[in-house]
Amino acid sequence: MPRATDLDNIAPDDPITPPSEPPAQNLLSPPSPHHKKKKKNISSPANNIREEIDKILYGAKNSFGSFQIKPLNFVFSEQEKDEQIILVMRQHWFTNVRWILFTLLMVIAPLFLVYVPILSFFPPRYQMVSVLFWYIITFAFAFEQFLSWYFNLYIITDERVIDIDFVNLLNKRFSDAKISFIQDVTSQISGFSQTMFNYGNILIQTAAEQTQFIFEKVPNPDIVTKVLQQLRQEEEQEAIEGRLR
Amino acid sequence: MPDFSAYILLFQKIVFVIGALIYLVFAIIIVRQVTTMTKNVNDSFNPFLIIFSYLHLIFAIFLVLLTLFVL
Repeated sequence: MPRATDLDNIAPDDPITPPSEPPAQNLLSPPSPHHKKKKKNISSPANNIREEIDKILYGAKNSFGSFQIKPLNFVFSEQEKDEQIILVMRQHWFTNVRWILFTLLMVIAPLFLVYVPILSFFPPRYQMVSVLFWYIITFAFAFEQFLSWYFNLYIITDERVIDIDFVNLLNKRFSDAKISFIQDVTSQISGFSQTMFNYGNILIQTAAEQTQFIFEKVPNPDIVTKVLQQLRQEEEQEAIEGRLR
Repeated sequence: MPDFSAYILLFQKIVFVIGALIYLVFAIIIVRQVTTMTKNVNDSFNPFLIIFSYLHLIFAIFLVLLTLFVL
């Protein structure tokens, strides 16, 4: 008959009895789909908060890539392994209108050379190269403006708020704060265009190293504020349950 | 009497060539910038940006050649 080895818990002569309950699942093996399904149906406060966040987010209007809800193909270099991206924001598309109009003006400007012949003292070849120079500078201006819009990102994950700024050609700034460090969130919509197109600033006060985050001219600021509130609640819930990462 | 117009044209050509070279450096910086950015932030539109930045660089090289050989 097999003997017990753990003398602290079981007397040496006690026989080992087979367990009456089914053995606990091996932690290293992946849970069965049945188990997963069962877990999903559990209505915990954290799940309720996630459902609430989804409900808030999917009520938002699409804004030409400046408000991406849980994007599938989006990854950033500082992303942690289990970190889930909830929202990726850029400045509202309307903020690009000014440089787009300026670019269009630059594109049509050489047409006015017919009326204002300022290059007429150049030989024709030089005139042609000058116009080519003008157009390539126009393209570079537009491309640079687009890049600075495209790569200035505000990211909300289930753990952090992140601000990635590419200030100019050679400067990149990355700042983040944990959701649990957020103390206060304020949204502000001011002016005609912001009211018209529903975009504005979000001011986030934190207890982290960087005490203030400003999400500038992002779409749907009221929705973002609500999402941040829900995420803070979730973090509080996790802290109560002792699941805080 | 010396032909001043030839000197003026030569001066203009030098200005254009220097301008095109400066622009070429700028185009190289844009390629570097886009490459760095796309490494940091991976999004579905990134391949187009990389293609655009290299097209821009090719155009800048073309401009240098144009100023050197056509002017």
